[in-house]
Amino acid sequence: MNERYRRTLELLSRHGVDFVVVGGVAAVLQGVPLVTFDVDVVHGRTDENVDRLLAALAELDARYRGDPRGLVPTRETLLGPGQHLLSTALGPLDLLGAVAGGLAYEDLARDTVTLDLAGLAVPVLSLPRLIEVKEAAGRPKDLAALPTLRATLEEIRRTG
Amino acid sequence: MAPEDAEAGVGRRAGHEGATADVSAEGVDLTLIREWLAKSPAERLALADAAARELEALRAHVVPQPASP
Repeated sequence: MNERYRRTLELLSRHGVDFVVVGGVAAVLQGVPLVTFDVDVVHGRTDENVDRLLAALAELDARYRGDPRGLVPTRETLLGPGQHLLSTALGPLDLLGAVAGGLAYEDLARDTVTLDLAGLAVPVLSLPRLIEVKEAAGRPKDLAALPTLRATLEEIRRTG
Repeated sequence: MAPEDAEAGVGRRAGHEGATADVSAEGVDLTLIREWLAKSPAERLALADAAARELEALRAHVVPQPASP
């Protein structure tokens, strides 16, 4: 199975889900040479959007990672600000109701760039904002990635 | 990488005498970044996906070694 990440994003788009790609995939798409093992997205938490998201998750056979009961996310939990670390038919998918500082979809949507993935338009958190979010999160894995993110941003700005 | 060498554009890659590489102020290899920036977003995503798969495959073959005394 090839291009898991692209297919995951394609499926979310096909279901009309409002989301912003954050995390490692957002960095990779903007030119940061990192390896990442999951797709992180912040989803809109309106009733309508969560319904669309649930339809996409059903098609992905998404279940909570590492949960032997095979629990699936519910409408109620997806409407909240929590994190949902899922295993899907296309690999790990992390759904975030909010990121560091409680920033939700509406807060991040104005700082997105739309990137063209061979015909698929994908909303991605801008690199400067992604750096701010990772700095605020302050987890060891975020801090470890920051030098490469900052160097890539400097290179983009330097080359115009 | 010595701190004094860690300025962008003047770095020398540690361990490869005679070989030079541009590095950022924080010691990041800018050569690799430039290679990635030259690719399309779709190409970058496909490469990252493939790299993750290779690492996952390697990890699946790792046999835990007993701790040395």
